[in-house]
Amino acid sequence: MKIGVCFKIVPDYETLLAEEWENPNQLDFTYAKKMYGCFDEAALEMGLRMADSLKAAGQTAETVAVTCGAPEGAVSESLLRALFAAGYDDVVLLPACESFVSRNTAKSLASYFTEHPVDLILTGRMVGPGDSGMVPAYLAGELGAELYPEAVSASWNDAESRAEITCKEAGFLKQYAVSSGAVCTVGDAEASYLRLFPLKARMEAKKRVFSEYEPEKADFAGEEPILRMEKTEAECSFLEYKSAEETAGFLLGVLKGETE
Amino acid sequence: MMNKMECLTLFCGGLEVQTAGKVYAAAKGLTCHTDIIGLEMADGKLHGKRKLYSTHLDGLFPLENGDVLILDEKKKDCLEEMAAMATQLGITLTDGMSLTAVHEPSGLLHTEEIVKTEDLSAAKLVLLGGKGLGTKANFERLEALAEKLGASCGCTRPVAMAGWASYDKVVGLSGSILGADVCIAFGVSGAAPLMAGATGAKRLIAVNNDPKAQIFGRCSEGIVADCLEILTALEQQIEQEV
Repeated sequence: MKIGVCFKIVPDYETLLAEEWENPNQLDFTYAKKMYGCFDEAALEMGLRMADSLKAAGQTAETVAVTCGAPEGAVSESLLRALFAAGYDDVVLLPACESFVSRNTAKSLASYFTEHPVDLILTGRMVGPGDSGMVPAYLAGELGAELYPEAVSASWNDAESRAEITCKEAGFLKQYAVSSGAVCTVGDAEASYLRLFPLKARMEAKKRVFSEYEPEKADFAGEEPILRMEKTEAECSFLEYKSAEETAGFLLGVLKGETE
Repeated sequence: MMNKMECLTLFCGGLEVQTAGKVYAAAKGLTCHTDIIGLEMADGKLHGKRKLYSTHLDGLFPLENGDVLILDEKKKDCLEEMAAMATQLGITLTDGMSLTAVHEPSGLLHTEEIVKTEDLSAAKLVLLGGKGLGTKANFERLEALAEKLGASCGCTRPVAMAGWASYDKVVGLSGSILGADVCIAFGVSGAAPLMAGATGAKRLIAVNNDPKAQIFGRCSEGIVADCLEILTALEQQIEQEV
């Protein structure tokens, strides 16, 4: 079984200087710490766990992690190499698409998966808060594949010879036998972080070569949004007490409705 | 030349409605704008407004006739204003769920109801714990304290991701939006997505030992202190009262 996982490396916006947001048209993300999109990281780990369950059943498993570049200077070679060290068989780089045109990103990914078919595609629900979350739906549409939303775990059922995923939907956990070539979005997964790996694996990953793929050109038009910062900061009153006990007394009073 | 704006299709609801909207838009090849929180005219053109970059900025996306808009049910208070603006501009807002069905993937094997322990968005008193609490055991102390006080206990997404608490306790853009009278945050740095849910509380008091923590820019009252010392003192005072 071949498993493809789509992911994106993004700046950790919380590591930017607060002043950065004051000039929305001149954002500089180059100095920010880099990370996998939080839901993408869960998808990356889910792909490896699926492969683990296949291998444990004596099945073959191949894993490929695919990214559409990082348009905001967020490329991090160490994060890309970490995927090899964690166990990915291949890491594929596609050229970056415009940030705000999800259909072009989906089209590029679809172009890759059409040429290099896989049995299961996993991707984060969205890169992070503020992302459109539309890439998986457009990708499934482009591939004519079924979309399974909000997967929390995935495994191989050897007795039934099928891949199974559990999704969280509207107050229910639903288990599905996944159709071949399906796209699954990963949300509140059971494992949210990519697994740890030994230093030896990281050293070996340094010798590995990324694959590159030039997709069919996607040219959906999309206008850049107007960006602006809304001043919503509250006036914070700093409270000072002589001791932890005094502070606790104040907080208890507030919780009991006795202190203004 | 721009098409005359006549109609927009709107999906407003929980995740299942949002998924239906995304699948509908993708199948029809329509441009879809998710997480919309309002409509706004800018540069003579109608735009859909949504939060960007982990909610640090607002983005106004130019709309075209026939575009699909998706709203989270947590933001449905924006609907009335959007409907009024659409009416004023002579635009029909079509309910997307009248055009499609809830998305149901094939191959369903088993369904199990998730027992939700508490509804944080309806809670009046909330104790909110962040990674600053240090360990899962300390988060469990906060949960125990909340129970003794008749309060609910919420957490940040990193706390849930670390396995200290279940995801139904997450407060923020991808969790519960608070409407509590009082929320006290312990060891919470104040990342923007969290604050999108926490600032719904009428009174937000933050306890953090870092005076530069972002949460102090968004809360009503701030206490610069070691949150574990305060937690211990609270536990002792509650113990003495019993």
